[in-house]
Amino acid sequence: MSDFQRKTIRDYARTYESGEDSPPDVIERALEAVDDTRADNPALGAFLALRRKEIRTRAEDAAARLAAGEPRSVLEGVPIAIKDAIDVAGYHTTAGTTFQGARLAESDGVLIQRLRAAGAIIFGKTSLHEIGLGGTGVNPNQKTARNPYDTGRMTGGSSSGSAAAIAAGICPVALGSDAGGSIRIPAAMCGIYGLKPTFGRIPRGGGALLAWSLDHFGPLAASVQDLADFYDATAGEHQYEEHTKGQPPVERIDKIKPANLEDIRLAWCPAMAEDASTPVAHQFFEALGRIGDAGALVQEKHTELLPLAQKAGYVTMASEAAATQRDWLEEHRHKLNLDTRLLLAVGERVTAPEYLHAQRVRKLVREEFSSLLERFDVFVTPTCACTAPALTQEALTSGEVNSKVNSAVSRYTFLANVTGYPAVTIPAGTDRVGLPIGLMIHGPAWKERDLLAIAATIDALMPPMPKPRIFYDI
Amino acid sequence: MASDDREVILNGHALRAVVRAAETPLVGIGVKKRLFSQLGLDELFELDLREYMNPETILSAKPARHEEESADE
Repeated sequence: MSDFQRKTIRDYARTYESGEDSPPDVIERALEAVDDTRADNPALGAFLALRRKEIRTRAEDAAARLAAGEPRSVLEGVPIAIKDAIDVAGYHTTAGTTFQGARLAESDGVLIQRLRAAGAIIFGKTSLHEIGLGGTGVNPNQKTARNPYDTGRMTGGSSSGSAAAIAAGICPVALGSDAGGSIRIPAAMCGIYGLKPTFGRIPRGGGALLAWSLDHFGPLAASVQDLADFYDATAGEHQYEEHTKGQPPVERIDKIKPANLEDIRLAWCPAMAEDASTPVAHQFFEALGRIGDAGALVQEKHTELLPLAQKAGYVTMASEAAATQRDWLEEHRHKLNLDTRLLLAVGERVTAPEYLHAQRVRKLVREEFSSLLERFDVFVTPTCACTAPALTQEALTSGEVNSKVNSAVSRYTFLANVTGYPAVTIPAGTDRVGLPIGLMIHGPAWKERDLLAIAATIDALMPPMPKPRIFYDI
Repeated sequence: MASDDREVILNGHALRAVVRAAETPLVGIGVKKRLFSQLGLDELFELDLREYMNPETILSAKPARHEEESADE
C-alpha cells in the first residue's frame, strides 16, 4: 500500500465516467508535466518524442466515445508511454541509438495496435539504454533518464524513460521490453510495478529485437491492477508470430481477486537473496517476515542451479545481441556508446560451444525451477541486488562499465528470462536515504492471472512508499 | 553465487582502450575471456553436465540420482 497514490488506469476511468475529468484535460496536464521536466536541471529525460497534435486528436476521439457511452475498455482515454523499441506509426524507432529509425514507422507494432484497439492514447516514445543492452539506463549518445526519487541516480534499464515517466506520475502505464530484467530493474529502482510475462504470451511484432530467445514486451505501471489491465489488452497469440502460437488460452483478469494468504506457498533461496546489498537484503527479509506472519507458507529452499541463470543469461544475451546487431555494426559500430560496443564485441567472440553449453544449462535451470514451482505457488527474490546507483559525470559523458553494478542489477532478473516464466516486481520499501527496493515474485508459466493475484495480496503487506522528489499529480 | 567481488570501473580513455582491444580480432578473445572471468562465468563453463543427465534427455519423471546409483549395485 502506498503512502501517496499514483493515479491508476481505473482512477482515470472513474473520473472519465463521472465527468470529473476528461482525456483532453488529462493529456494537457501530462504534456505540461513533460515540458516542466524538460526545463528542469537536470532534465528528467523520460521522453524522446511526442506527436502532440496526434495525441490531442486521439484524446478528443476518446472523449467522444466516452460521451457516447462507448468506451472500448477500461483503457479508453488513458495515456500510455512507449519505450522507443517498438514501431509507432509516425515516429522514428531509434532503439536508443543515433542511427536507427532514420525513416518514420509506417505502421504500428502489434502491441500498439492492441492498445489503440482498447482505446489507449499512445503518449510518445520514452528513452532507453542503447539497443536495450544494459541495466543502468545510462545513454550518453542519446538521453539518460533520471530517477524521480533522486535525479543524481540512475533509473536502471533498459526501460529507463518508461520507469521515470510512471514514477513521476506523468502516466499510469508504459511499455517496456525485457531480455534480462529491463522492465523489472527500472521498475524496482523507481519504486513502481513491472511485469515480464511468460515468453510468447505477448507478441513482439514491430519491436527492435535484441536477443530472440530472451526478449519479452510488458508493462511498467503505477499498480498491480494496471499491470493486469495492460495484460488483458495485449496478451494472446498473433497469427504471424510463431513464438506466440500454441499458448494456453489467456485467462483474462479484469478486476484482480487477491489470493488468500493462507493458500499461498512461497519459496525463497538464500543464494538468491543473501548476497544482495545490506539494505536490499534487510527489506527482503522484512517482506518475508510480513508475508509469513500474515499466514502464508514461507519456506527456505536450497537450489543448486538457479543462481546460474544470470551467467547463462549473460552468454546468451551477448551472443544473440551481437547476431541481431550484426548488419548495423558494419556501418555504424563507431556510433554506439562504448559500453554497448564492448558488450557486442564480446558477444561476437562467444564461441558456438560456449553458447550451446549456456543453452544446455538453461534447460537444467528451467527443469529445476519447474520442479520447484510444482511444490510452491511462487518463488521470491529481491528484484535487484542493489538500489539505484549514483550517476557519475564520466558515465554521462563517455559511458562507463562498472562490473559490480552490472552484476548487481541483473543478478536475480535473468532467471525469468532464461526460463521464460513470468515475474512481477512490486515496491517493498526503501533504504535509509529513501531509494526504492523491489520484491520480485516468480510464478509458473502461463499463470499470469494467479501470479498477479498473489502479487496484489503481497503488495498490500508492503510498507508505504514515499512520494518521489519529482512527481506530478496529473 | 556472486561474480568476482572486485569492482572494476572503466570509463573515458581506459574504456576506449578496452573497447579497441575487444574489437581487435585476436586480442579481443583475451578481452572476452577476462570479462567472462570477472563476471564469474568460469563457474558456468566448468559445470560438467554429465552429472545432471544430459539436459536433452531429461524426462518429466526422472529418477533421483541416488536411486540411479543404487540400481548399479
